[in-house]
Amino acid sequence: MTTTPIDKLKLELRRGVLVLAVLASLREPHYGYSLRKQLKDAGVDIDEGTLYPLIRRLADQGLLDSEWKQGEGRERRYYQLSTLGTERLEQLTQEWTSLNSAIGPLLLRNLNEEQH
Amino acid sequence: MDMLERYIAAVQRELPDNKRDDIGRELKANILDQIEALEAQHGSVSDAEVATLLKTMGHPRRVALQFCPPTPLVTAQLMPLYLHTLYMVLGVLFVISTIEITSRWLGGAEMSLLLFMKCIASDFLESVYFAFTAITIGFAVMSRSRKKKTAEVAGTCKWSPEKLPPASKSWQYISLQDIFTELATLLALVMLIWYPLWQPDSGAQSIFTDDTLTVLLWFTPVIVIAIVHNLWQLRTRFWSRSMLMLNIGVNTAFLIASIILLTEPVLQINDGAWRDGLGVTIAERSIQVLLVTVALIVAYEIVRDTRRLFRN
Repeated sequence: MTTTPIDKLKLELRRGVLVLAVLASLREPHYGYSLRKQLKDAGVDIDEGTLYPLIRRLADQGLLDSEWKQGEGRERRYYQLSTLGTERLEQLTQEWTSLNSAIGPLLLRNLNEEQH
Repeated sequence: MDMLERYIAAVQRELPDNKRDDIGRELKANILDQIEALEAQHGSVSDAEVATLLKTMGHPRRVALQFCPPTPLVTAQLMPLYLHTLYMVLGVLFVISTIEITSRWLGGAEMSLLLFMKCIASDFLESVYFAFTAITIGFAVMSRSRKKKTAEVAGTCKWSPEKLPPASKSWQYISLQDIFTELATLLALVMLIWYPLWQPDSGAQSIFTDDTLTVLLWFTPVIVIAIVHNLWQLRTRFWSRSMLMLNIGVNTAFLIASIILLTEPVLQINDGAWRDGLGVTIAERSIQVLLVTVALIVAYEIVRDTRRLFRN
């Protein structure tokens, strides 16, 4: 369990970004484990306890379509962006880009001031 | 695999009926994927390794909570209104309990001073159980019906910055607790003074001496003003200059009455009106201490309110 103040701040910071990362990864269909693996390979490590409930919540909100499929001898639930999810992803991407371009210089300025 | 089945079943037991099968099925598929990945790494997977994996997933109850977080009985949007209603209702119940028990006591019910306090407390608690339950259930139902309608905090839809009270110091805000405590005390005092006169046939006799009763009867209008002032405070919840001045006036009258009563015997102890079994001296001394305490409290409030008045 994460209890230190910095862990809590990190968790808070990651919470919103994870939604963006999951939505972006689900442009292609994935089942829970394969999605987790893809995110991990991309450098975004999410534990199962966070990821699986998050996917279900996004599906409940209509942002993801899901379908049970048989593969390699057993069933898996595949998720993919819905039409609504695609729209939301575009809006969130714009928001992320705008925030990133605003916050990036702020962080760099503080870093430069510290160095001088 | 028996261990996995038991784990899934344990998670499902903690889930609501309508989600049990679906989440169980999906969780199982996810865990089987993880086991399969382990098999690909190590060749085969022992029961101990499966147990370690399940331990990493977390306690079944925790996993179930992650999928279906508990819904609070009262939503955050309704919480301020819920607390306000609760305080108001509990305050009114406290006043009612004080009036009811005081009237029972004055009506001749055998009870000592300690029993009198205990009766107020138990009568109040009895009403509180019901009120608390009823209010909480009411707000829980409201929370369910409002859940999908709005994320606005209740009572914050219609407002305008022009109608906000003036920016002020924190002391200017009057707490409900203060208002209701004072209201209950004042009402109990009025009943104590007037009950034998209202109910001459009840056999109830005043516990005060004739001189004290005369002082208190003359003092009644001040108590009535204080009660009206308290009711007004319930409406405004904010100290203004005129309210401070009125409070200083009322407290000065209380101070004068306390000083007058300190100079003479207060209780009519010998005729049996005082039934708490305490010795006469102890009872008289208790009253003296009580009057000194009242005088000190109101003197403090006079000084406090005067300073506030001049600093404001």
